[in-house]
Order: sequence, then C-alpha cells, then structure tokens
Amino acid sequence: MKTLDISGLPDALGDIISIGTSCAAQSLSQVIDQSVQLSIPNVSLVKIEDVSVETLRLKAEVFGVVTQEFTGALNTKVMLLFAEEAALQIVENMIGMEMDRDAIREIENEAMCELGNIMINACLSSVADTLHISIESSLPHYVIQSRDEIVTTILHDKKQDFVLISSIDLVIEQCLIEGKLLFLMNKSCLNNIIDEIHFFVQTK
Amino acid sequence: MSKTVLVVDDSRISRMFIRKHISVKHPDWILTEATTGEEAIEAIEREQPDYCTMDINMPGMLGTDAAKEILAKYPDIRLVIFSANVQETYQHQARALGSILISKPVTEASITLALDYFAGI
Repeated sequence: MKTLDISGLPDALGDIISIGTSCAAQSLSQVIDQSVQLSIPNVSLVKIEDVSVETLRLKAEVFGVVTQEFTGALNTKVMLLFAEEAALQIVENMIGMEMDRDAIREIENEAMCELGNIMINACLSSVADTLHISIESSLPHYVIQSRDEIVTTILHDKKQDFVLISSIDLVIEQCLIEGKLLFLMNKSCLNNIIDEIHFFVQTK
Repeated sequence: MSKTVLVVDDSRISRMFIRKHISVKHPDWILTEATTGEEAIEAIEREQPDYCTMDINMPGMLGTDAAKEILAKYPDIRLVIFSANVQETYQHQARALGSILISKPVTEASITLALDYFAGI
C-alpha cells in the first residue's frame, strides 16, 4: 500500500490529528446524546496521485461526505466520511425520534451538514488552539458518493498534493461505524503544519 | 415574565434544537428566527428582542460582525454566540464584543449556559 513513511514528520503531527479526531468524536457523542466508543485514530499520509480505495482504506461502498474548506494559517480541505447507512442512523439518533427512511432522507442533507460542521470544527479548533494559530472555515457541503467517486473527486483536485488520513472506528449502540477525516493539502500547507509543530515543540 | 428571543442560524437543525430546548424551560417565551446576519439586523431594527443567539459561520456576513453591529446599537440585548468554531481567537472576540461563545452542538447543557447568561448569572 502506497502510504508515505511519516517517520520523517514530527511525531506530534499524528498526535495533534488524533486529539482533534477524538474531539470530533466527542462532539458526535454530544449531538446524538449517546456514548461513542472510538478506536485510537490511525493517521497516515498519501500523495494525491496514490489516492485509491485501498490507500484510503474505504470499506463501505457508499459514503455520506461533508466537505469544508479552511483558510488562514492553514489552507486545507477537510472531508468527513461516514458509511451512508451509518450516516442515516446518526441522523435518526440526532433528531431523537424514530422516523421512516423517506423522512430521514428529507433532512439528511441539512442534518449531516450541521453534524459535519460541528465535528470538523471540533477537530480543527483543537488543532488551531494547540498550535496557537487561527483559521477560518467555509460553509459545509454534503454529498452522497460511492467510494470510487470519492477517489475521483480527490484525484481531480489539482490544488492538492497530499491527503492526511485519520481513520476511526466508532461504536454507537453496539454498531461499528467506519469514519474517516481526510485533510487535503498542498506541499506549502504540509510544510506550514510542520513548521508550526516545530515552533510549538520548541516553545513548549 | 415572557421574554423574546431572536435565534440566528443558517442551519434549520440548529434553530430547531435551540427552539426545542428553550421552549422546554420557558414555554411562554416568544422565539423568532433569522437565517443570516443581515436578516437579524433587519429584524432587530423592526423590533428589539430581549435576547439573541447568534451563529458565526453563515452565508453573507459573519455572525460576529452582525453581533458587533447589533450590540453597538442595542447594548441592552443579551446576546450569546453559538458556534462549532470554538478556537480561542473567537472566544476572545466574543468576550471583546460583550458576549460569550458557547460551543455547538446545541444541547440541554449549552442552552442552560445561554439562559444563565441571559439572566445575568
């Protein structure tokens, strides 16, 4: 599998992303008012040209995808992925009442945008505060895509050079949910993060 | 005594949760809604609510900019900022405006914080 060796990158990079991912999972728990158990996030980095279903480790066929762009000290596009069946379950839990599938689908877009906005910002706010930087976010956007479409979307984004992948397995009500946070960035952004981390470590 | 609250958020889901949690504690309060900062300013020009909840990231102007404009003109309105973006920068910004930033998601606990702030606790 063509994931990059991230041993040359500061150890703190994986740690900071893992903490941010945990913050996102914690906010999911608050949204659905249920405990969410999560595995230790697995953080890896791939070059954009090596992005594939395998390198992204996408197991489900179809995903609900919330995308949000960040600018400021870090310029990155963040994609939050949930297997679509899980996304529908989360929406139902979020609303807090049993609904038929058609009713859930009617509000799925708005609910997933709001959930994505909360989870992605929980993660990025944690990263920004840890590094003492400030970033601004765009409005969230939600689509349902097959795993092949997700790969194509990423490959067609010519502004990006790398994808930092944070994979987590969440357990909600004894159901295992596959979740991913993808951070698409160019070389300059990756270098900025590394510089900020070095500065953070030196001044700590 | 019945109070009026303007809920400003582009997310229907967030507005729904804010409305639900406030109504449970204060069923006699009158809640109105706006979906952008511009809409909120227009609504407040027509009629000033006692309290206001404001999102930050909305289409058009930022909620923090709308809050600044509203509080400069109507300093008696108690306004809380509800946002998923809880970076320290935004928390300082909220305090500088004479407001507080409460992190989303909107829950019973976060609404209690807002109601306490409204009550001056």
